[in-house]
Amino acid sequence: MFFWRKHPIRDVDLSAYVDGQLEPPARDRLEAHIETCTPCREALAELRALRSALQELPPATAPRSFALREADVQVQAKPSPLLAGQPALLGGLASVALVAFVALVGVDVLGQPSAQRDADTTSAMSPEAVEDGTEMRISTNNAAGDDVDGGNLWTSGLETVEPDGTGTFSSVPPDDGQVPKTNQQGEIGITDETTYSSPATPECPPDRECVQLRLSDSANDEAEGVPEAAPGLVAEPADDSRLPLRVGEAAAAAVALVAGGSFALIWRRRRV
Amino acid sequence: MAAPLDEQELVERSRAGDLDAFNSIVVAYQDRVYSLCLRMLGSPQAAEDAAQDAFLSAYRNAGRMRGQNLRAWLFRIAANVCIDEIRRRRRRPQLSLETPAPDSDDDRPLDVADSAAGPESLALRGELSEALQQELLGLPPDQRLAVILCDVEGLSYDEIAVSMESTVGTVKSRISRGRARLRESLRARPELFGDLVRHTEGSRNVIVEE
Repeated sequence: MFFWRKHPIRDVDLSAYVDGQLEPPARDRLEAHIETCTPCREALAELRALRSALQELPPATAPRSFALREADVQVQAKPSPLLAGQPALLGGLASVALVAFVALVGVDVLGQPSAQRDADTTSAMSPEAVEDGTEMRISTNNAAGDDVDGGNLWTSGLETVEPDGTGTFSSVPPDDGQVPKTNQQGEIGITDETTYSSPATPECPPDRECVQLRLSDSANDEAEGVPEAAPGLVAEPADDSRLPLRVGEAAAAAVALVAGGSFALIWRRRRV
Repeated sequence: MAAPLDEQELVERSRAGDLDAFNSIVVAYQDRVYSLCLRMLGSPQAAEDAAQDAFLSAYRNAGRMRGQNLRAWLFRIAANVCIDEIRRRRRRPQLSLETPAPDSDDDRPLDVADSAAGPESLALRGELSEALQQELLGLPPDQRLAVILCDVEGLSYDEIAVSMESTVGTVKSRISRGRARLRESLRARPELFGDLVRHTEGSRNVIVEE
């Protein structure tokens, strides 16, 4: 092949010529060239010999019948008659799911009160811990329905939270001094139900709740006189919206994954 | 390739999901599809699996089957299965099955009656076929497929372009590069190739001119 370089005849033309696929102008040039060029004649001879040898490779016979049985076809041929062969539809579904996912995440992140968002991102507290411990306390205490105060109450009252749900509580003690010392600066636990009552038990002793409330946000609570918080009136926007959003996100993510996966699979199968 | 009338009808019925009609096409083409797979993969077992996969895939996509160029269409599906298999092997080389087809030697001296060669030359040609199959397996898949479709299966450049979902220009180039590599390899076996070159040159007016 190296000796072709100095010739005006290209490999591909010689190859096509052997197959009778070179068009007249190029073919005439090549034929005229071959008359005077020994290396090209040899190359042509080798190409013809090669072609002839390849043509004489013995044809193979199928070792068995490849006829399809009903079972082959029914099990494998139509895996999803609804969506098979419709990558556009699957792609659309995946896009819709993706958009929904992004929108839900966006709503979740932007819709939270800023204070709670800070708490969420800095404390690494698990959602269960938040619901069981901290937010319960906020809900029962914040019976007046003041969202902002609720959020502030929580973050000002909870300085550090450990992943296991315990934390250090360091609010400024109220003036009236009714709060047990242990609660002013000490450990809180998510399972400590004697200290922090849940919203599902409105009959919890009002005095205990009042104490907690004043501990955290004494100015506001003194004005309101809070404690008879009915669970239905509890105003804690993040608490209401969090769970449905989480479910929505999970569903959207699952749909996006499934749709994307099937899309990729079917796209690949179409290639074959 | 002009399809016979009954083949057209078989295609139409296959497109409508008629399995019996499709199986008639399978029976008509299975030797050639298997042969292509064997040349591409080199192993009878792998070729059998690939051919079965190809026909299953063809049935699934029967909606796109056309009467004209049925052979090229089937070859395209089989070629894709084979190239996928080659890539899969490359990713998992321990499963390599690139051994010569042992039973392809048995029926070697098949239709060599066209040549005036003697028995000794026939044996040499058997050896040459063996060497050629090995060299084919050493080509990049694209070139391997182009050379096999052109020289072994005898498809026209247009049909090869359909089978490879490519242009005639690309096909020409792949065939040329594949042949160049094969030629380089075979030069190292002058005892096989030299004899063939001389023989082909001697009778080339009979063999090549079409």
